[in-house]
Amino acid sequence: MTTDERFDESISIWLEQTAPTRLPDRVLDATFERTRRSRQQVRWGGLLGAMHLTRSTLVLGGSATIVVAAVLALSPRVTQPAVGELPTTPDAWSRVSIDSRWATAQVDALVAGPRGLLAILGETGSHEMQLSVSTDGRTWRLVPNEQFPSDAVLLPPPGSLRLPAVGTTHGFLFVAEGNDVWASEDGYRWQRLTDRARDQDLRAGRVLAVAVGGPGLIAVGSDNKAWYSEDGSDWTQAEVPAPPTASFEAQGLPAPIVSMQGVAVSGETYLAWGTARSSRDSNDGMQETVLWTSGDGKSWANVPDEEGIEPLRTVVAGPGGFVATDMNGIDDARAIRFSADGRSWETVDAFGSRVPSYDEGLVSSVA
Amino acid sequence: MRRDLVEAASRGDHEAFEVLATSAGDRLYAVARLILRSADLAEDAVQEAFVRAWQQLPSLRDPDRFDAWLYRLVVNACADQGRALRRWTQQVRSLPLDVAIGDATGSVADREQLERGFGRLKPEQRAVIVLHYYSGFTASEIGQILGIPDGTARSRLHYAIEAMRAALEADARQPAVARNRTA
Repeated sequence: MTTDERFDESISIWLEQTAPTRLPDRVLDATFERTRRSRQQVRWGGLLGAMHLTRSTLVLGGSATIVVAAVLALSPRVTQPAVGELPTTPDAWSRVSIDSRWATAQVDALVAGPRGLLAILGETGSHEMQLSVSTDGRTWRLVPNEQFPSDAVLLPPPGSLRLPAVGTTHGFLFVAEGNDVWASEDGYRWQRLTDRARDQDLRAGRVLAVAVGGPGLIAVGSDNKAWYSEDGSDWTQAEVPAPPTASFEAQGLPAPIVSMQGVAVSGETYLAWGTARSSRDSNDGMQETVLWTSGDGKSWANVPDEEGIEPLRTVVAGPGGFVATDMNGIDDARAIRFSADGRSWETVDAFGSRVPSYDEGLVSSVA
Repeated sequence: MRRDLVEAASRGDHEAFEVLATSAGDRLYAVARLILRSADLAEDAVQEAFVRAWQQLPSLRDPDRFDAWLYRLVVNACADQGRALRRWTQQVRSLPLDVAIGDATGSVADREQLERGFGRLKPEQRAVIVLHYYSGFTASEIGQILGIPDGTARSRLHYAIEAMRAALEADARQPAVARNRTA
């Protein structure tokens, strides 16, 4: 037996000996309890016949749900079409499908602008993305990728699952890998506004999320970086304090790497959330949730982590504050939290045992 | 028979889905636990994979690819769990060696070296190592499971194996005092 064969055999034997033999019954029980309450994505292939494009059910957060036929509202700063009252009964909602070029896909984000909606589609199981636009929320058309210099433009930046995108009074804007800022009036034809080569403030860090707020736009990203801009063409780095490091030092870990991963706006209060992560090696490390707030998007302050907030999964903002779900597990005790100011949080018990599950997340909507 | 179950489940037959999930649960859990090195995270990953499987099953065009597709879902769920980690440590105790071992490596120290070497790998490297050495998939099959080109799968497996070798060599170079501390 050659050395390679011995090496291969030793790994195989070790894995075989190490692997568990049985999945606990409670896991399947919990699984089936969730799947019985969960919808399957509708299959459209039979109805489409010979069409070469496959359809992906419009979803929010990865699960097949339903969507209102009206335009979704976002920040009050966005000029938007008049929106009627939101439906209050299940049968008032309509299911909508969006074409994609993949067999299975999901809507990773939905952005409202003055001329309609922009959907950012992602292929299930990969990082590939595709844009699609609609003026009424019912009929959608794919945005041609050929106008972008490469498919890499439509990839989420490392450290993020989504392309940072936002609707503005001028249309739509997203920030691509490399901090390239792209804008469009209609979501169909895009132009690059700026990039690292032209704006030195964009050379540090990677933008992971963007929102309308502050002087116009605010963005947050890797390496404890945040930015603001009036119109997306000229960015300035915001002041962001380093997070507390005492808990990492207590564990004998190096200073953490901080990533600001999301930002939401409630009135004149801005909330950013992310993680501080440190490791000694791949086997030993620690990660903590970090929150920041700002009153102007130019200067941020840490929120003391007195309650040990778990990593946040979904955050939505409304005129009265912020609502978030966290990743404290996948059982029915998933926490819904509310804060009026982004600094003091309370657990919400509005759903009882019917807490939104892992995949369903929260609808991002403000009226 | 199995194809019939997949087709029935894709039409909303939950009982058919339960049969499929129950039959696949043990091996998917083994894969997830080897990748994540944590029983809790592996249980979460398997549950998430099954929930996604139920939701997305109508979109699976070829019922014969159900098993490979499940592997992809569980590997992706493992990646998601890995991103959600707050604190991670070498989970030696979560993988008890409580079985009679016909140990071809010859010693407990060798098993611990493999454990440490494996633990030094990135989660995506552990995934291809597990799919190849534990589940028995070829590089080409791993490519189909993960939805990546053949060449990429071969390359990823090659570098994962090299990384494992390097990790074992690095471990072998550790000072004798440090090794004894872990024995």
